[in-house]
Amino acid sequence: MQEIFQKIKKIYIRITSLFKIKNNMLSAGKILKTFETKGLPSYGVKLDYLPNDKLIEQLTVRFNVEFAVMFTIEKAGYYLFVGTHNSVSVPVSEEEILLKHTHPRGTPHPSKADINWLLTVQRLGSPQKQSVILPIGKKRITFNKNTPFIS
Amino acid sequence: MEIHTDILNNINTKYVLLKQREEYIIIDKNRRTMVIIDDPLINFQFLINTMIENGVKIYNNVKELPKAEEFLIKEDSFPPAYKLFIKKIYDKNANETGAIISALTNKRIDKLEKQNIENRIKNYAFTVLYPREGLNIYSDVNSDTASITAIKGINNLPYQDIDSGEQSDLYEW
Repeated sequence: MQEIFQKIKKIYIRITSLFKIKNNMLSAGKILKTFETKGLPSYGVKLDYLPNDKLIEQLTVRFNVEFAVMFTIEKAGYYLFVGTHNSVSVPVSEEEILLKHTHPRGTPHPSKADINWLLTVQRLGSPQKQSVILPIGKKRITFNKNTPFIS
Repeated sequence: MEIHTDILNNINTKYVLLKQREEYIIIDKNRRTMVIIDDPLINFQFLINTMIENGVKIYNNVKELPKAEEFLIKEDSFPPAYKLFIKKIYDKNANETGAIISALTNKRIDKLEKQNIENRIKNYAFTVLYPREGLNIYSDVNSDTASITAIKGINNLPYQDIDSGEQSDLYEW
């Protein structure tokens, strides 16, 4: 009877840990303050949640640099990459999904490099067909490999 | 710093090209990432052509790219923040001949972080402090502090021949 109780307890702990939201300093409510006090990471950070458009736009306006949100299929995790005011470096792999990235200058079109990234990962076998751009001050746009771009 | 300046200053040391059919992709080989430039003011094709003219290494397959040396940081660790201190150097005629640039960090740094900071200071000296000037850069001046010494116009500086013998000609070795 005691063994069964312990097993149930273990299963309960596992399930609750799966849904437990970590109260770390990069949570949605604290990420802006953390970056303001500790500085921007030079490359990127792992997040345990999907940051929404508003948060990414807020970070872009505050720091005037590009942010890209990626999802890694293999590790099943979200990553936030930090770039410069007109560029961002993101991994090239069939395991990577570029969910969205910002354009601090508000360019409402994909660049040639945006399209090239999509084409490259598709050739590597990625299931990704399209991605999202968040131009600051304008509506979000979705682009695929056939979208007209600015060269 | 502007991304195109950073790319052209660090060809092959940091940035290489990946050829995908007829298209070229700029790769940051230290991170094994692709550089996405979202600036309509930068002529992407001209940048690629300039890189090729400067002898950039071109890879034909993603799998041929070297392994990454720089990785994502953990959630609770951030790179050291630093403040730059610039001490200008003047000659006897009060002409500026260079500067000593030191970075004071908020925590201890290891050798790789020191190199990274020194590389950024070098780029700063070339692009912001003394743009379009030939510089002699001396780094690794201090073992524990990221610091460089930038001297401009080194050929115009006065020199003194230490060996006073008749056979000592500066250009005959």
